[in-house]
Amino acid sequence: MNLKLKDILMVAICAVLFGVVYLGMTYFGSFLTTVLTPSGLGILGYEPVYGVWFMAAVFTTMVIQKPGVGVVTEMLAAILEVLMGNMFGPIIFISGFIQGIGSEIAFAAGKYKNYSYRTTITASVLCTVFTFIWTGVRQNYLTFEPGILVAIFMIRLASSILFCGIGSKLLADGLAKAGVLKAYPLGQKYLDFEEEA
Amino acid sequence: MERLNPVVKAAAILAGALILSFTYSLMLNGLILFLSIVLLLFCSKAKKKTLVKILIPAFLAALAIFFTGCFFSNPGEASQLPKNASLNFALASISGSSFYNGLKLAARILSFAFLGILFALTTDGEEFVQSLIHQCHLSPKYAYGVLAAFHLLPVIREELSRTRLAFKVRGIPVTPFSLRPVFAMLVNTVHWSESIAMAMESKGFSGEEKRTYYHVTKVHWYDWAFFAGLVGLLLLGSFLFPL
Amino acid sequence: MEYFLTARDLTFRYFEKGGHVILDHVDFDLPKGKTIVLLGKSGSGKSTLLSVLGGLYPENGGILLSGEIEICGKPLPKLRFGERASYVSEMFQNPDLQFCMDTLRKEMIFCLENISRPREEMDGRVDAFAKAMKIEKLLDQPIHSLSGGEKQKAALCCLLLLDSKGIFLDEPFANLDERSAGELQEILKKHQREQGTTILAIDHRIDLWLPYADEFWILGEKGRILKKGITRDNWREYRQLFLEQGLFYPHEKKRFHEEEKTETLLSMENLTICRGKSGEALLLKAHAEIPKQKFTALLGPSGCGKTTLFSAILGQKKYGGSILLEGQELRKMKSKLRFRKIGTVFQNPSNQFLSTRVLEEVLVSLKVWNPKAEEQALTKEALSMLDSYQLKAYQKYSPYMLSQGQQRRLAVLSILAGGQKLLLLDEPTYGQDYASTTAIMEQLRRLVKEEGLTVLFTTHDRQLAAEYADRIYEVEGKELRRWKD
Repeated sequence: MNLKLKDILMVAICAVLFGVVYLGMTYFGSFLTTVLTPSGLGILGYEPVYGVWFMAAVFTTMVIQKPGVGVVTEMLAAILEVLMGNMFGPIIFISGFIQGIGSEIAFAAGKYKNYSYRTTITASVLCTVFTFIWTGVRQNYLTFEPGILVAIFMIRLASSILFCGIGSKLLADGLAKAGVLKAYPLGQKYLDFEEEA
Repeated sequence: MERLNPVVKAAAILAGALILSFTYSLMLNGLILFLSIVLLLFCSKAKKKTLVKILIPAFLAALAIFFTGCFFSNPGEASQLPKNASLNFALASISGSSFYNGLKLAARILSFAFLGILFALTTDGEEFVQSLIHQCHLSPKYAYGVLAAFHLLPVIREELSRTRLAFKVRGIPVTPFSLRPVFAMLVNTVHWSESIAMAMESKGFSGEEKRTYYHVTKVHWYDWAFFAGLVGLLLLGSFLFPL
Repeated sequence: MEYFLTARDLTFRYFEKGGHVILDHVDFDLPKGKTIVLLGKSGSGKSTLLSVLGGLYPENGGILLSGEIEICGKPLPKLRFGERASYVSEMFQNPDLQFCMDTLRKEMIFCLENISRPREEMDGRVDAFAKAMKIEKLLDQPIHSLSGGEKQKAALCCLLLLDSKGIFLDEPFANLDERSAGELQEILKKHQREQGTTILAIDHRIDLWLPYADEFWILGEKGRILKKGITRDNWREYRQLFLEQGLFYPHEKKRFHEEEKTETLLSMENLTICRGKSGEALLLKAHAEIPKQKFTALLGPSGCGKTTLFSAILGQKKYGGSILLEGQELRKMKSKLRFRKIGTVFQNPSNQFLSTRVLEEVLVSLKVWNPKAEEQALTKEALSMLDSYQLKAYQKYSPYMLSQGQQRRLAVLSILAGGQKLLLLDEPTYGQDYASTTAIMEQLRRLVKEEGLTVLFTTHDRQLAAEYADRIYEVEGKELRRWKD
C-alpha cells in the first residue's frame, strides 16, 4: 500500500483528534463506572462511549478509500496511545489490530466501492463482535452471568452503531458536502457540485 | 528498565500479557503484580507520584469488575471451588465462589494494568518510535508522520476548546457527545495535513530514502535476557499454577 | 543575468476532473542572489505558484498540465527531496503548522538527518548555529509554548540550517508585529550577504519589505506577472496599478484622533489575568473603558494575552478584579444571558460554522435567538441580511468554500443574527489581503455607525488600528495603555 506523507498525516491527526474526544468522554465513563460499581454494574461504565474508539478507522477508510487504511489507522492510533502513555501499554497494538480488521472486513466485502450506511454499520457491528471476543478473553467473560454479558454486548453495539456506524459516516459525508475533501476520493463525488465563483 | 530497548521490552510485555490472557490463575496474577511492583520500585526511575496517579483508574476498573464478579458470576462456571468458604462479607448473599471469581477478575485487570504501566512509565515515547524504525523497519514516513501528529496535540486541544466556545457563544449547547465541534475540527485538519506535509518535505524530508539518524537504538544481550526471563517465568508460572 | 530558477509554460490546476486553472502558461525567471517579492491579491495564485516552483506541488496535490522547472540548471523533478533541500526550502504562513518535533533542537536535528549529515556533526552544528543566531534559550523549550514571532524565527532557523541556495517565503509575517518582522528580515539579509542566497517571497503588502527587497513584482490573474522592476525608489509611480490590483498602497498615515464624549459599555477595573498553565500574569491590575457604540482596538504583539482577555470577558477564564458590562459584574452573569449580550468571531472563522450551507448558517442563528418566529419570516430576514453583505449569490454554497474574507464576513453576520450589542473580534484581518481587509473593516464601521453596535477588536497592525478605531488600547508591560491623539 502506498500512502503519501500527507495521507499518513491526515490519518494520524484524525487518530489524535478522535483520541482527544474519546479521552473527554472517558471522564463520563469513569463517573458512570464509579456510580455503578457498588451495584456490580461498574463493568458497564465505559461501554456507552466504546463506539468512539472505532470511529477513526471507519472515517479514514471512507475518506481515502484504499485497502488497508483501517488497519493502518488503528496501528498508528496505537503508537499514539503509547506516546501518550496509555496505561495498558503495548497490548493496545492487539486491540487496535482487532478493531482495524473489523472495519477492514466490512469495507473489503464491498470491494472498497461501497460506502453506504449498510457498510459502515456492518463495520461497526464487526468491531463490536471482535472486540467483545477479545475483551471476553481478557476479562474471562465465561465466568459471568449471561445476563450481564448480553448487557455489555448490547450497550457496546448501540454505542458502536451510533458513533461509528452513523457518526463517522455523517462526519465524512458532511465534510465532502462542505467541499473540503476535494483532493480525496470521497470528495470527488461532489465535484460537480459548484465551483467557487 | 529505562535502558532496555523499547521494542524488545514491548514485545516481552506483550507476550506476557498474552500468556496472561489465556490463563486464569490467581497465583500467576499475584506473580505478575509482585514482579511489576519490584521492577517499578527498584529497577526504574519511575516517580512514585506518577505511579499512584496512573493507578487510580486501574484500581477503579479493578474494583468495578470485582463487584460485577461478586454479583453476576455464572454459577455454573465458577463453582469449581470449595463452597464452604464462608466469608464475612457485608452482603451475605454473595457466594464464596462469586467472591473468589470477583477477586480473580480484579487481579487480572490489575495485572494487565501493571504490565502496561511497567512499560509506560519506563519508556520514552519518541525512543519507542525510533526503535520501531531501527528494529522493526517502520518507514520513516509513518514514524515521523505519527510524531508530527502527536506534537500537534496541544494545538488540537486548544482548537477543540475554542470551537466549543465558539458554539456556546452562538447559543448552541455543547455536550461532550456533540459531534459538531469534531466536524469543525476535521474541516481544518484536512488542510493541516497538507501544510505539515509540505513543511516537512520542504525541509528535505522524504519518506523512503536513506537518512542519517541522531539516535540509533540497538538491541543488547540484556534485552534478550529480559525477554527470555519474563516470558520464561510467566510460562513456568502458568504451568505451576494452572488455576 | 544569471538565473537561480527558470520555469517555462507552467499550467496547473487542483482537480483532475476540471475546475479552474490556477496557473495558466506561466513563465518565470528568478535572478540569482536577489530578494524578490511577489505581490498579489488573494486568488492570484501566488501561493500555488511558490509551491509549484519549490516542487511541493504537484507532489502534495493538483496536476501540472504543462511546464518545466530548472533550478541551477537541474530539472526539478529529478531532484529527490533530500537533495532539493540544498537548493530550495520554504517557510509558510501558519506558525503552528511547520514543525514535526516538539522542540527546536529536535526539529533542527530532524533537518540535519533529512539531508544525511553524519550524526557526529549534529550537536556541534546545532549549538554553533544557535549561538550565532542568539536563539540558545529557545532550543529546548516546547515549540508550542513559543509566541508567534518566536515560532516563525524558529522555522527560519531550520531553513538556514539546511543551507539552501534559495529560500522561498509564503507571507511569513502575516501574523507578526512589525518588530518581529523586522528581526526576521535582518536575519535573512545577513544570511544573504554571507551566502549569496536567493530569496523569493510572496506577500500582499509592500511596506514591510521596502527596506530589504531588491525588486517587487506584481502578479495578475492566474500566476502571470504583470509588472517587474518596481523598487524602493520608484514604487510611488505605480499607485494606480496597486489600486487596480486591490493591493495595499502605503499612504499617508491617518492621525489617530479620539472622540471624547462617550458613554462606557464595558469597563475593566484592577483586572488581572494569568496565562493558562504557567500562571504567569498577562495583565496586572489593568484598567480600560470600552465606549458604547464605538469602535475600539486592542493592540499588542501576538501572545501578549489579547485572546485570553477575550476568554475572560466571555466567562471562560478566571480573572481578578472586575469586568463590568453596563455596570453588571460579568462573572455573576448567567452564561446564556452573557452570550446574548456579547458575540465573538474568532481568528479562524471556520471553527464556528454550524452548517454546510451559507443561508442555513445565518438561519440557524436566527432560530436560536428567535425560537418562536416563523420559518418563512426568518428565511426572508436571513436572505436580506446576506444581500446587504454581498453574500446572497453564495447562499447555496458551503461556508468553507468561500474565500477567507467572505468566511469572516459571514461569521460576523451569523453572530449579528443573534442581535448582540457587543461584538468581540479576534484579529479580524488575519491573513486577509488589502481588498478584503477594507471590506471587513468597512462592514464593521458601518455596523457601529448605523446599527449602534459596540465593537472591540484585537490586531497587531498599528496602522489598521489608527485608521479605523475610535479608541485604542495597547497591551504594554501587563497594562492596558490608552492611546492619546
